[in-house]
Amino acid sequence: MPERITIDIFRRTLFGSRNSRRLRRSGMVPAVVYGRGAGDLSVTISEKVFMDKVGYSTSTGIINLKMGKQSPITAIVKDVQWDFITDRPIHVDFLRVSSDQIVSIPVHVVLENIPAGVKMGGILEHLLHEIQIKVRAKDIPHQISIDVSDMEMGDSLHLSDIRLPEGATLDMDDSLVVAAVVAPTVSKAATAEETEEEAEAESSETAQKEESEQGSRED
Amino acid sequence: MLMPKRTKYRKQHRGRMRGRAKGGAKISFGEYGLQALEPGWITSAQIEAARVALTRHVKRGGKVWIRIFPDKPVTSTPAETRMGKGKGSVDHWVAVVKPGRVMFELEGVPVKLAKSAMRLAGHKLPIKTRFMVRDKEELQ
Repeated sequence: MPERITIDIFRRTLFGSRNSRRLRRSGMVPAVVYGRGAGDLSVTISEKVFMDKVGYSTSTGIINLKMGKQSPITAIVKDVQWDFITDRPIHVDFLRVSSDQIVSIPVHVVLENIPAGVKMGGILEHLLHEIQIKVRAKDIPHQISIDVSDMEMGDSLHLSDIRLPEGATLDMDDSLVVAAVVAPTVSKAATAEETEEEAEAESSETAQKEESEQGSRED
Repeated sequence: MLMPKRTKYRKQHRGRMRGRAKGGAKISFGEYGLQALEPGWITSAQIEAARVALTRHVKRGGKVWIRIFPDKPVTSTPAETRMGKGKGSVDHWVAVVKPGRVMFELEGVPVKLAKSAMRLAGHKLPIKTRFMVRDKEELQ
C-alpha cells in the first residue's frame, strides 16, 4: 500500500476575493475541509506543497491534513478549481472521510496499447476521459487502465465492458461509450487541396524541365 | 472560408474585448488544444490557414476541432472615398477571442506531433497562443 500523503494546513481567518487574491500572491491556496457531520473548516495550504504532492491528478487517495499539533484529518481531494490560463490552483475542496467510507469520485481513464483498427488506418477516439466510481476511500485507484489492443475498425468500447478494480462500482450510466475506432474521414476540402498540390507539383516539374531544355539549347 | 449563412443584421459595432473568456476555456473534445493568451479578432482566412497548417502537419492522422466561428462582420470603405456616405460594406468576418479561449483541438496523434502542429497553427494567428494537454500529468 502506498504511503499516505501529508499536507500541512493553516487556519484561514481572512475571507473574500481580495484576501484570497493576496493569499495566492504569497504562494498559498485557499481551501476548505468539510464532511462527516463536522463543520466547515476554512484553511490555506502551500501551493508548492500541493503541486508537488497532489498536482494535476484527479484521484490521489486518502490524504492526511495536519494542522499544528492536532491529530491529522483524513480526507480526499474532492474538487480543485484551476486557473484556466496559468494552470495554477485557485481553491481546493477536501472531503473528510474514514478509510472504510464509500465515496463517489471521478477517476481518470487511460487507454493502453495501439488498437488493431488504428494499425489498419483508423483513428482512436477517446470519448470519456473520467468515470465516476463508488469505492472505499482506502481503495481509490490512481487511474483505470484499459487495454484497447483488440479493438478493430468500427468497434466501440462501452462503460459496461470495462473491468473495474476490486470493490469499485460504477456511479454513472454504463451505456456511455468510452472509446471508439473510426475510419478516417476525408473532407472534400482536404481532397481538393491535395489535388491542387499535386497539380502544382506537376506544373512546377514541367516548368523546370522546360527551363532546363531551353538552357541546353542556348548553350 | 467560414462565415454565417444568414444574419439578423448586416453590420455590427466594433465592441470591446475586456476580460477573459467566459466559456470554451477547457479542452472538451480532443486531447490537445491551442489556447489564446491575448484578446483579438481572428479572421476567417486566419482560421482557415491555421486549419490547413494543422491538417497538413498531422497528415490525415488525427482529428481536428475548430472551436471558434467568425460571426462578426467587419466593414471597410473603399480607398480614395470622400467623407460621409455612411458605413462601408462588409469586407470580412472575424471571431472575437479573449484570453483563455481554446481555439483548436486535436486528437489521435502523439504529443510531440501535436505540439509541432499547434505551433505552426499558432503562427497563422495574430495573437499569442499556448499548447495545452487535457491530461496535464502527461506534461508534469
